[in-house]
Amino acid sequence: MKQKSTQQPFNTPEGYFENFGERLKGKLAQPKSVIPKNSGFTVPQGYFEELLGQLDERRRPKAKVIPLHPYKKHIWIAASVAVLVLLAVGLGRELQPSITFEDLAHEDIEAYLENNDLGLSSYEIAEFLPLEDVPAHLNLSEEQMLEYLTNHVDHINELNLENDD
Amino acid sequence: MISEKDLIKELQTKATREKAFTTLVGTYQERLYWHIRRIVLVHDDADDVLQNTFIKVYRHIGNFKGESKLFSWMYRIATNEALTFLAQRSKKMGFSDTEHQERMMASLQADVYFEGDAIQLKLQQAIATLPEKQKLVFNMKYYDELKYGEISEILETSVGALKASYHLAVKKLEAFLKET
Repeated sequence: MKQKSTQQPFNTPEGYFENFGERLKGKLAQPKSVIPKNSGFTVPQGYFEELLGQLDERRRPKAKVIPLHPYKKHIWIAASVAVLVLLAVGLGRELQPSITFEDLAHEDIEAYLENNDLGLSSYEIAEFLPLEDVPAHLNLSEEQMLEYLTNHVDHINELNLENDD
Repeated sequence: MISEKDLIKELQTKATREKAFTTLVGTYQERLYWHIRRIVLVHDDADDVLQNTFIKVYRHIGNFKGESKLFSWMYRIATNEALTFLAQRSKKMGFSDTEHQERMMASLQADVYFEGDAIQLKLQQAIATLPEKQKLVFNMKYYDELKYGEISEILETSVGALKASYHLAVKKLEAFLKET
């Protein structure tokens, strides 16, 4: 049987193992980045020394300001309340149906005229009476007229007749 | 140096609150400032947002339950304040996203507290094109040098998703800087 040779057929360059470690370190070292480490920002001189003082200034409670017109802040509240009250009253009125002359019963009008002294004469009242409803010619007999005058006129003067007889 | 637990206790106690607040500002002001500055870019805006952040922390420290680290809680407030600041200004001016980015770049170039060269300006232009989450993750990892675990707590996102976002952001930025 042929004996296996202990001699390897491979060879290495001269001094290969002597500087292997150095070459390996070089490979492992991170390639230098193109990104600069210094970003170029600076601060004003003494900035960090003065920062605390500026912060103290901001934290200090501000002096209480006493208003010259303390009522002024209540004016808006009062105005708002007034507007709300007016709106409520106005709306309430709007919701109630308004009363017209037609709604009054004839009896009520008559009772009012009888019980209240209007200070108006018969002529003044007559001026307001619509003439359309008055017939142009009253077909009254003499007897009817006399009967009416006897019953309704107490004094002859009330007739306001223009005769000197 | 006072422990975070003791600092929180002192901040929540009326008698020790003022002294503890001074310690808090001294400890975190620079880290929070740079985080905010990288979002809003201009110093004056960063100053406004940083002050608002500390005022908010001061007012709400009583409600802090310690469910997360104080540092993460403050970072989260700072991030929200900065993003809200930008969104409000954009809305007020009625700008689209592109217009808003252009305006921010113009403001940055005009800012006397930006001394960046052409590459650094280009980098800011490139960062501005990134989606919001990638932008935040990149700045917090690359510049603030926060650990993924810390960023995860601040942004309430899984570490896996953060790693993916970061690598994607780096690839995009490198490509942008190489091609231009």
